[in-house]
Amino acid sequence: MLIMLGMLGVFYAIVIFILYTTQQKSSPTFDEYSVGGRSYGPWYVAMSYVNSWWPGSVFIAFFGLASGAGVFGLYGLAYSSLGVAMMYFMATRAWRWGAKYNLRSQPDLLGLRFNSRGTKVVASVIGIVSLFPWVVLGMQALGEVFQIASAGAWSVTTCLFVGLAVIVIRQYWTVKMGMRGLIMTDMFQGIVAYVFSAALCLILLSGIAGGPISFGTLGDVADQYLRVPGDGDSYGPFYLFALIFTGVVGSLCWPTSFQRIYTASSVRAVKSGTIRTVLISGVFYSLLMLVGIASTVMPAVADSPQTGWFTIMESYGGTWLLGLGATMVFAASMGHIDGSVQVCGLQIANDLVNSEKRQLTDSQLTKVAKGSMLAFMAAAAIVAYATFNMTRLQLLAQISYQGVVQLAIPLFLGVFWRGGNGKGAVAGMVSGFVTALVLTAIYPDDIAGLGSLTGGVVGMAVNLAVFLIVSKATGTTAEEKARVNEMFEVGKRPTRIAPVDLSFEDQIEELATNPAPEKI
Amino acid sequence: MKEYIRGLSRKSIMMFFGSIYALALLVALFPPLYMWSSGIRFEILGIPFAIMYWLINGVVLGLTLWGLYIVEDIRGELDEDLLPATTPLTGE
Repeated sequence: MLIMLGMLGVFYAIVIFILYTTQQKSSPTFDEYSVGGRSYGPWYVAMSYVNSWWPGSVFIAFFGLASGAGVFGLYGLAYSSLGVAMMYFMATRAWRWGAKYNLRSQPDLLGLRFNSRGTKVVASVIGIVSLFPWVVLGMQALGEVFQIASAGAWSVTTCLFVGLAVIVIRQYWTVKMGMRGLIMTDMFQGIVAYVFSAALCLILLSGIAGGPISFGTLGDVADQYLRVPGDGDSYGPFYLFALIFTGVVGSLCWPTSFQRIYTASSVRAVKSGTIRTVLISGVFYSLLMLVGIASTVMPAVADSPQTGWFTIMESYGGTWLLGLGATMVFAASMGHIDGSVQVCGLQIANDLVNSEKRQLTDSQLTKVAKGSMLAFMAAAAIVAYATFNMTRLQLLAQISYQGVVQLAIPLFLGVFWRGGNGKGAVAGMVSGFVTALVLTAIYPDDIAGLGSLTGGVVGMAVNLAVFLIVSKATGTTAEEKARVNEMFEVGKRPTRIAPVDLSFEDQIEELATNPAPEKI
Repeated sequence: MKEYIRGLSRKSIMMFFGSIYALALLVALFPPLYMWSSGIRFEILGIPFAIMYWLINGVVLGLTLWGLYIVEDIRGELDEDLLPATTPLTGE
């Protein structure tokens, strides 16, 4: 017990040390506080994205999916790689609009694109409400980490209290430093959670560690673990489609994901960061799932797939490896909670409290953001404690996923298409969100009558239809069309070929004859 | 090679990489395809095809994005301080 708690303690101390040494002495501007002054390079963007993408439950729920249902677990690889790739295609326009119009959040972009405060507020509320259950689940996961680390010596309540205390203390720095407080530790947390675990999975699968699983075991798993849902079970053929589809479009709908575009120093940093995100994420998740599928041959894992990660750690390396495994879950949970708390505080201040009529100064915005983060975190901590033994919270998280993807319609159409208007966007999002909410409450998993589609996909269809109909019915003024056209001009990529092969003297001559344009 | 890539139109580049991305989407989202892969035990590098199906899709997608990044880098389309389109700089 002391060894495992000690490992968690050392990890935590390093996180606090990094925060302490990298904090700024002067008070930051709101731009600095909210998006890190748009100054971070590709590795920081990538690590921050990976941290906000994979919660600690990737080692519990997703691992449980692989060790309980086999190849089904790999659907996460498909949706995360395809989804993160969408960021690449959206990067140029979204980043340029961000820099040109000083955007700090995803609802900021929607509000600007549709020239509508309603769109901004609705999008922001959907994002915040949807993230809330995940923060609560993340806090509860930390309680479970301490249950493992204390080897059952601490009561459930004590473990939850310790988990909450640890994350609440950590958030002092998130509140104080804003985006900088995340970025600086995401690198360390990410290495522990995703890079170390990927290396560990590779060692286990290589067979050099001995024990019952290896790459070779994958060929021996039972038939049932090689079948996807819909192939001989109660699910219809569209179940997997619905899960991957909502995952792909939802990847940029999560406020935490989109904000990574605005923390980047350039379009190059976003795109380069995206490549790294796909690499880290893909390698880590694939190896984790392969270990999960291979471990179906272990009776102890088959009996309790959700705790499979910890079972494997303990059976391979005893207390030390179990402690390391728990630290990885701890790191992943912390990174996810940090990102969520930060972006929700930012959105409350920037999108909901600040407005044309009630314009806040930089320092007021920062204060409101700090207060909002504290309130958001306190509310999540209270709910985490009150609902620790409730399974319905998992359902709420499922509903939130189906709900947040409703942002995709105005977001994707708004960035890639010049049509539509604010009234259509608001009506579409509200109707889609309500449809998804009601359907998912009635059919938490799938809708059998629709080939196992999920409520979120049906909600998106309603959302799209309402968006197009209302936009068409209410029309767009010539002035608004001109404004949108101007925005799209700003987002156009450079068409000129770079002077890659020019000599230094030629480049100077080139610059002298073609002075650089004003930076956007 | 670099000259050839610079000489291509933006449209043809996007057609090429967009098609591969669309194919990767199809592999993950089209039920007849993923249902076809389900349960196949035939091994590639010791891993059953039912599992390899998803791994290959991820690898293809990652390489496609990486390829697009390299191409955009060669064409100078990634940097913000580039000059607007005027006369070509390569002397062509």
